[in-house]
Amino acid sequence: MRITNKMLSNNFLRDMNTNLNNLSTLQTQMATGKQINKASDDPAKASKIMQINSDISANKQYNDNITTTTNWLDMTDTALGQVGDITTRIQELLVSAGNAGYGADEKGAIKDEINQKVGELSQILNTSFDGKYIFAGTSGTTKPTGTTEDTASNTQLDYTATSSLESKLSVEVSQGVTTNYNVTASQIINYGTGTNDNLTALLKDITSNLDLGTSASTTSLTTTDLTGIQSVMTNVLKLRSEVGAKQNGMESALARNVDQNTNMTEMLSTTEDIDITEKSMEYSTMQTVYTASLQTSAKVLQPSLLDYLR
Amino acid sequence: MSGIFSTLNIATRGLNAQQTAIDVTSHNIANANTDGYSRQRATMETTSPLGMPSMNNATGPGQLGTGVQVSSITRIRDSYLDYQVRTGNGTKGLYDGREQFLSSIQSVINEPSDTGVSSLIGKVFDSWQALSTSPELSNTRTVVVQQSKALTDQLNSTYNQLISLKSDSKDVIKQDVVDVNSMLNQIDDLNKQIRSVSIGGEEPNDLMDKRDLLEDQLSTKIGITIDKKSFEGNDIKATVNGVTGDTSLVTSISSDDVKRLSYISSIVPTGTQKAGEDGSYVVTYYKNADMSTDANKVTMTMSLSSDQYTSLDQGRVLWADKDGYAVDNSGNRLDGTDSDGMPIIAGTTNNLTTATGAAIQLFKPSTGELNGYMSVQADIDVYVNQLNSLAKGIAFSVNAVLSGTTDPTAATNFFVNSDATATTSAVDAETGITAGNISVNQSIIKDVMTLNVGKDATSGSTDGSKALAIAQLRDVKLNIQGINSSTTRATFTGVLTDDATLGVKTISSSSDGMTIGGYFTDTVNRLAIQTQEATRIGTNQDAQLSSLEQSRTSVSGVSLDEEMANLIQFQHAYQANAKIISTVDELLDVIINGLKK
Repeated sequence: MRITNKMLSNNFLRDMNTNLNNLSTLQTQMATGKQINKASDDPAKASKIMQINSDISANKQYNDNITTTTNWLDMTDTALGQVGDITTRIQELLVSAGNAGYGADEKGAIKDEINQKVGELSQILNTSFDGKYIFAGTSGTTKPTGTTEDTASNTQLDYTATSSLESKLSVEVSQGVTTNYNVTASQIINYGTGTNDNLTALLKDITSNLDLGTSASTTSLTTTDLTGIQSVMTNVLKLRSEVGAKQNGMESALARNVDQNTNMTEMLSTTEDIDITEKSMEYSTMQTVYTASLQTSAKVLQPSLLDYLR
Repeated sequence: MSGIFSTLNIATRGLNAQQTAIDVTSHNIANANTDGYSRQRATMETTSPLGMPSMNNATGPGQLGTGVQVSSITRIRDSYLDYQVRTGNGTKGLYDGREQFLSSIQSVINEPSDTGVSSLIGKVFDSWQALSTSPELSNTRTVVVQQSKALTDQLNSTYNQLISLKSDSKDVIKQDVVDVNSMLNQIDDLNKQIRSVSIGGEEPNDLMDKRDLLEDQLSTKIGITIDKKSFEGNDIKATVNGVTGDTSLVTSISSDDVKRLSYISSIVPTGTQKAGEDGSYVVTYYKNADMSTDANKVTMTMSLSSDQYTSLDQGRVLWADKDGYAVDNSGNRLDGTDSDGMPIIAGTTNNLTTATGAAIQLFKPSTGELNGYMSVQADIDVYVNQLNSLAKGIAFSVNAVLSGTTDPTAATNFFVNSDATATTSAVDAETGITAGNISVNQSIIKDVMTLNVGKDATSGSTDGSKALAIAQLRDVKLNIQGINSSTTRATFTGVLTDDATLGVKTISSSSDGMTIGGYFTDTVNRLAIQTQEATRIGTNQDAQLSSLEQSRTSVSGVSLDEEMANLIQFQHAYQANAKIISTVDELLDVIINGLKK
């Protein structure tokens, strides 16, 4: 095949351009640390990377949700524990009130303490966390319970049930999985199915019985009222165990979430990142090729017949 | 027996021939680096020998040679290689043109990245999640509003950039058409010159080289077929799809029956229809795509169907006669108004046809850069439509779950159409949402507490059920790919279903739908594959073309070493001939001065 000078220089230009293109690609890859810098470098990988990125960011949000819910559940558990303590104390007071030897003064002292306890109970039911009342359902910006003084200057627990006070709050802890996480004041106050099976009525009954001081009222203190307060305690324990189960659930959800995050980050890295050793090798090979092409082309392009004619 | 002077003549002829050969060699060397130059060779042949048997001839030994003459100066060129190179040029021009614009679209969309639409969509859904856990705070609402605003701003800007890319590609098309027209005129001139030189019996080598170079450049822009006619004339026809009738661009016997190209600058609706719908339009074009003066402007009024509008908008280049007036497939000029306000005069065919959507002939080259740019227009339209569907899908789904109904007039909508005026109905405004006009409702931006995310208007202050339902839309499969410009919210969402756990109405997943993030990833994927294909085919063509170019240069290129060797050859021959002359001179001296003193 007949070769002309133009062919030699065209070949050189074309090959040098190819080499420089390859060098430039490698340089960009090493500088950014990523295999692909625009989607057309590898479309399948690009769409996988986009998918994994959006999954990772969704996962982070779920992590935040789980942490907030766990804190809420911890607060609920502490509050329920305090309610349990108060009802235990009221139970002790009721038992001691049944002592035949107690006169009106002692009963009066017991009644005062019980009034105190009612106030404390209301305060616990109004626990707030992060600006919301945790037992207030979906109306978390208003206090669920209050206290009033009745005609006999006894403290009454004041609670009116509404649909929003009794509704459940939901949170999404992983894709498509929502759970309820709150305990409502209604659940604590209503311990049975009868119309009078609630704390407000029970405490009112206890204080009026203590006021009356008749033998019938004293008997009812140690029978119906005592049974009532024990039902309250059982109810609170049941609620506490439910909260405990939810806390366990949150812990395992958190562990799963962290695992998923690790897995997805690893997948992202294998898809997206370069192997620096491999790239460095490719780069130095390409550099050698480029230098070799320059050197040989210089030797080939320069001489011509004109150098040797007289 | 010829005289001594005939020997002198032989030597003189030899000198002349060698001198011509040296001229040709020096011409080759001078043009060693000229584009499109093919090396020339002086072909020498012996002059007619003496002694053809006849009445007047004396008999003597042999037919005596009478010297040399240069019979022709030919250029060495392989026309089959030319044909292959031109076909290759067409394909390369096509894919290079596509790649140029597809990469621009890719940098506009800018994925995968941390700042693109995909990650913004993720952030919007995250903000709704955060709102669902703390709906009583104003800052979680502000975050939702600001993230949504960032998303709509990004969609708006991407849309605008794509639209301006489309108009850039139109400019490039116009420039190419001007170049093509000028090349055709130049080729026509060269054709005439070559033909007249050829008829005179000479070889117009350099003119033919120039014409070949122009034809090469032309083949990059559009596909052409070249027919060789008598006396080295060339007929050039355009290779196009689906045009009946004559597609001659240049004819070897100059005629007025050839076509040129004109450029449509605008298509404006005359009625109340929006651009792209059936109706009557005013089409303005410039003769020969020359927009430098308004004297070239011609307007036509015609009714177009939606498909005809799209093909005119994307194609933009018209078949015109030699003066630049648009013609139909029989060569009759289309009726319209000239730049001076007067109706068009009928051309050489003496017939005027009414301008209709069917009569107008669009130039659709089957290969070449022009084809690449035209096809990119269609692609940009597809991507803009996909972005619009995405914007509409987001707006419809969030609005539907937030208001709990499929009726846009029922409550305050979160995403609204910023182009809607006070007189547009709410349904029309929402149906007309595109990626360019989607925005967050101003009343919500001003007062974020008006955003109601509880189950209904009476639910408590910490009820975030609707926010949670909206956040869960991230994973719901919606029928986004079925959205077009007239889809309403009710058609898109279908009947809203009750979500039992949350107690709000939401959209149910459809089995052949796509999630919002998935739809966008799919769009990016398609763009990436198209760009990769254009780059890959372009690189392949490069390799093919360069090997063809190699072959062509091998045949037609000037090798300086070879010319040098030839030069020495001719130099020696010249010196030898000169020697003969001086020898004859001595002989003559003997005869004239020595024979008789």
